[in-house]
Amino acid sequence: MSTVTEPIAPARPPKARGAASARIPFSSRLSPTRFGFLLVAPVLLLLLAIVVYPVAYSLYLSFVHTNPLTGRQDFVGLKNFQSVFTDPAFWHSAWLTIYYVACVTVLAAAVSLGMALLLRERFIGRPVLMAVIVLPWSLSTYAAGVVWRYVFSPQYGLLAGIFEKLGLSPVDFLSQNTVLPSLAIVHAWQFAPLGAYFLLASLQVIPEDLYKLGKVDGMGILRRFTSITMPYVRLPLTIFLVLVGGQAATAFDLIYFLTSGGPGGASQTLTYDIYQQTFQDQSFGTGAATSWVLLVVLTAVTAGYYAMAMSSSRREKKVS
Amino acid sequence: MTVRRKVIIHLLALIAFVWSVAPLAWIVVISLMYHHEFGSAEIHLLPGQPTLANYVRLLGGTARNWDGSHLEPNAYGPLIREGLLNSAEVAVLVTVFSMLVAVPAAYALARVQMRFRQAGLLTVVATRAIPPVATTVPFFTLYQALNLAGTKTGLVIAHLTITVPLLVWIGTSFFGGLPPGLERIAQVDGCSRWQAFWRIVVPASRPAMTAMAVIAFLTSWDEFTFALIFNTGTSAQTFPAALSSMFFQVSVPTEVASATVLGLIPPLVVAAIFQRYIRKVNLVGL
Repeated sequence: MSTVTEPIAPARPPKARGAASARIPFSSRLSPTRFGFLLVAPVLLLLLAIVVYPVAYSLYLSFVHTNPLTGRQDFVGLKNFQSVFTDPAFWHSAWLTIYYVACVTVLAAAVSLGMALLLRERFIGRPVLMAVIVLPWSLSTYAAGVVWRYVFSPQYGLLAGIFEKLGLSPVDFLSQNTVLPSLAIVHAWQFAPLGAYFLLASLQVIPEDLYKLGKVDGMGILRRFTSITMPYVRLPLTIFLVLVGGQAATAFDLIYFLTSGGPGGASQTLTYDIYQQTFQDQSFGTGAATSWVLLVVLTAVTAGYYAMAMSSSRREKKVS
Repeated sequence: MTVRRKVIIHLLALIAFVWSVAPLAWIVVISLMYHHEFGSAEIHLLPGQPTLANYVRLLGGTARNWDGSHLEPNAYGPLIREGLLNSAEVAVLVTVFSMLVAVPAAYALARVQMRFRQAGLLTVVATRAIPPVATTVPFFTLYQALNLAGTKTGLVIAHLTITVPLLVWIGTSFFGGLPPGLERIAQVDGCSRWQAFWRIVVPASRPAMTAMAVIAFLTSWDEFTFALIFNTGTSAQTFPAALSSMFFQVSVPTEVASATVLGLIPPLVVAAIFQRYIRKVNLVGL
C-alpha cells in the first residue's frame, strides 16, 4: 500500500469494498519512524515535563541558597555541597546507609535463596506455601511498617508476647544498637519473596543428574551447593541484590513508620536525612545537594555492579 | 529421600509459612481485640473476646465495649474513609492516564521498525532509576507555585512519574513476545498501521494490558512519599497519609490495626482477582 504516493487520487482496491476502505489510511502514509514517534511522543513529553524538569530543578536548587521565608534564591556555587561534606551528620547518615544496605542484602540473599531452595523440593502443602510467601511482597511498604511496629513493640508486640509465653525477658528490637538490623529484617521479609520466585526459575533449569554425579564423586552437600548450584544462580542473585540494595539505600516508608529516624538518630539514613533537611528544617539547598550525592553514588555503584556481573557471567560461559 | 531429610524439609516449610504469615495474622488479631484486653498486663496472642467493634466504629457506627458500655464512632473514621475514597480515585485516574500514554509507546518501542528505538527505550528505563526523594523538592516548590499542592491532580501527576516508565518497560517486553508478522497479516487485510495496532494487537494482548493496568493501580495505591509530602492534612489526603496521622497522633493500636487492615483489603482483592495476569510479568522489572 505504500506504493500509492498520490494521496489525492486514491487507488482503487482490487475488489470494491466500499468507499471507506478505498481511502488510504493516514498512518500508512507515514514512515515507520514517524509513526513510532507519534506513539512515543506523549511519553517523551511527559517524561520531559515530570521527570527531566524536576531533576534539573533539583540540580539548580543544590547550587543556590533558598530563603525559606521569602523564597529568595542566591547563587552560592558549591557551598551547599561543601557544607554537606563537612557536616558530621552527613557522614553519620552515609555510614548508617551503607550498614543498612549491607544488612538488607545479606538477609535478603539468605532468605530468598533459602526459600527458593526449599520450594524446589517436594513436600506436603507446597502449593499453599507458594501462594503464601508472596503475601509480604503484596503489602504496601507503609503497611509493612505498621505491621512490624506491632511485632517488635516491647510492651505489646508479638515477639514480646512469645517471649513472655516462653518465660524470657522482653527484648527491645528497636534500641540504638539493634534498630538497623531489625529494620533490615522487615525489608528482607517484604522483598525476599520476589527474589525467591526469581531464583526458583533459575534453580529449576539445573539438571538433576548433575547432583547425582556430584554425589557419586563424593561431593558433600556444601560442595554440591557451591560448585553446582551457585554458578546457576550467581547472575540472577546479583541482579536481585542490586535491585534490593538500591531500594534499601532509598528506603523511606519503613523507616518513617517504624522509627522515624530514631532512637537518637540511630536509623537516620540518607533518605530520611534528606527528608528532614528539606521538609522539617526547610533547607532546600543542602537537601538537594545531599540527594544529588546519593543519586550519583547510587547510579555509579549500580552500573558498576551490573557491568561486573555481566562480564563475569560472560567469562563463565566462555570457559564452560 | 531419607526420612530425616523429609522431616527437615517439612520443618523448614513450616518455618517459612510462619515467617510469611505471622506478622500479618498478628495485626488482624490486634484489630479484633477490645482495647481493654489489648492493654492488659499480659500479652494475649489470641483475642479472648473477638470483636468487630474497631471496624464498625471506624466505618461510623457505634458499638458495645467488652463490659457492655457504649462506644462512640471513631473520631478518625471520617479521615480514614475519605482517605480510602481519595486513594481509589487517584489510583483509578493514574491507571487510566498511564495506560493511555504507556501502551502506544511500549508498542512502538517493541514492534515498530523505527530509528532511535534503543535510545528511546534506554531513556525510559533510565528515568526509573531516579529515587522519589530526588524529585520531591522540585515538585513541592513547583506545586506551590501552580497551586497543585494538596490536590488530587498534583498527586496523580506525581504518580505518573513512577507508573509510566514502569508500564512502558513491562509493556515493551509483552509486545515483543507477540508473534512476529502479526501486523503484516493485518496490513495485507487492508488495515493501516494504526488499525493493525488498535484492532489486532490490542485485543491479542488483553491479558498483558490487564496486568499493566493492575500494576499501575497497585503502584499508585501503595505510594507513600509523595502522598505524605504533598497532601497530608488536606481534603485531598489519600489513605497512607491519613493512616500516618492516625498512627502518630492517637496510636491506639487496636484502632490503627483495624484501619491498616481496611487499607490492605482493596489492593489484596485486586491482586487476588487478577493474580494469573500479574504472574506473567517479569518480576524483576518491578
